[in-house]
Amino acid sequence: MTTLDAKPADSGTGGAGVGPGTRATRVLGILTVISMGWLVLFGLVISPADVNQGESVRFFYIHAPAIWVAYTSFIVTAIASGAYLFSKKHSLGWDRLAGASAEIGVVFVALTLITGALWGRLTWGVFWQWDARLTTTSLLFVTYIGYLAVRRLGGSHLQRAKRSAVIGLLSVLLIPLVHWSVVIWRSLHQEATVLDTDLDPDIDGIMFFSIIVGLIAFSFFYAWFLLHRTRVLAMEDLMDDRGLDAALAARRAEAASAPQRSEGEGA
Amino acid sequence: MLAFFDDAGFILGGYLLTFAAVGGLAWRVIRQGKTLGEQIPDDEKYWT
Amino acid sequence: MSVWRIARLVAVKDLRIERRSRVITNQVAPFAGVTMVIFAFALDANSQILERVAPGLVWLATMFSLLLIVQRSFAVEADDGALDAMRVAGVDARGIYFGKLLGIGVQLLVLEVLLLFTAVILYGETVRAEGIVLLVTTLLSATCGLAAVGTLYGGLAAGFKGRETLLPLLTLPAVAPVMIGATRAVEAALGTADAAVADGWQWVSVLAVFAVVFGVGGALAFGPLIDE
Repeated sequence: MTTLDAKPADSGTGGAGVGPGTRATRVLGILTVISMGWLVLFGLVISPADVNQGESVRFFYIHAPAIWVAYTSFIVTAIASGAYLFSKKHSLGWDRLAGASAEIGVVFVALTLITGALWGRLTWGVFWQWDARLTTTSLLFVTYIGYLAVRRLGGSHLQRAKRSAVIGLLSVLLIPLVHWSVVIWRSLHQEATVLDTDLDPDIDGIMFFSIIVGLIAFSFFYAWFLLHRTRVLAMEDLMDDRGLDAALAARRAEAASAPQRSEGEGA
Repeated sequence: MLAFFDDAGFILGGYLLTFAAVGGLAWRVIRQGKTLGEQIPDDEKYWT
Repeated sequence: MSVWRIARLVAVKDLRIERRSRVITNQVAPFAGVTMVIFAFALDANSQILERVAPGLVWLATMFSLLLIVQRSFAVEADDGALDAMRVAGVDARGIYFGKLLGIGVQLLVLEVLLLFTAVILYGETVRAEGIVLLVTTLLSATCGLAAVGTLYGGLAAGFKGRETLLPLLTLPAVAPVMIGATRAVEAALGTADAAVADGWQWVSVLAVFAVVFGVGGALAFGPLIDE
């Protein structure tokens, strides 16, 4: 298991040099590490194998929390997008929050799909099925890859923020539409098989608890990452601004020294 | 018993991949934070 | 000027440009036709399979053509910065949106009819009398949905250098519900795989809701997206 460094280094000079860590992120970081360890313990060791699915049920302790956190992150993106568009101040902080949240959301959807595929391979022998949930999740993944691509279109920060906010809201609007159509579609083709990808309702107490542990661990990580990444994005934007200021200053300096040169060249 | 060992590869692999992804994200954001943190004056950082 | 008047003006302008330049007729329609032929190569000209999947292939070819039609529709504006000029002149963005939507929709509809024709000839599809109403309704509602999505993302992505490749990535997942619904509805209308006409109407409702949601959402979102 990888260790997460919850304590970013301070340069200690008092001037520039402080990283995005604060007490809040340190606490969250420690909680994340502890709960991740807890998840490994419960997921791989303490919780028992399932009666029907055997050991492959252990994927569920990652798979289910991952998709829950992913959905939460996309809702946060939508709320932040709305907050950016409809608030008076149009503060870029909302835009950066939306972006950071979507980034982690995409990673967690990918994890959901991969662990789901591995689980399916073990349980049913196939990596993929065209059932409602998997199909919708794969479309969700691509939709937010598109959102992240829109964020990278360039232009000023305000342009990025407005575009991304609109796309963020549209993307969240798409989710129920896609889900609805896919569910109707797959329900028409429901073969009478045992290939049920639904969560077993009679889930053993410890197994349910293990899922909750997974949820807690991923949620702590989500909060920790969100804080760090939003601050990093703020610093990136500050760097862009300073780069722009530096370029402007350099051009002005050129202009100030230029008249002497052009006269010398015999205009 | 043998089934456990087949499955174990997948399951451990899945868990390792998950923690690699989580760890990778964490490492990258910490590294970015350090690099940028050194270049930006502290008074411009809203969390200080 | 009311939104509808603007929309009509924009749509008529676009269709007039198409009538004079014939880009869609000379380039996109043949492309769509060739795609239908290529599908037969991919499926080994197996007439049973082709007939079974014909509705899906029609909508696939439609979807690819949508991307080209949308690109073209916004490229027409980009050359002289017409979109910006309209916005600066205070033209209501919703009017521009619906006008573009209408232009794209009409061209798409004509293309779909041609593709259906092609499917009848190339894949041995038959159109049955009791499915005609369903078929027409499906074509209309699916086209509205496709045009709504295409116009919206087209405003963002198409016609700008270095952004055209974004259009497919944004559009394809967004039109997935239309792909699902339209194919199932056309299957029901044509009687493919013993689908009953009654099944198709459920899908038409999905298509209609989609078209309304994206039509309204698009009209609201289009202004902010193109105002840069």
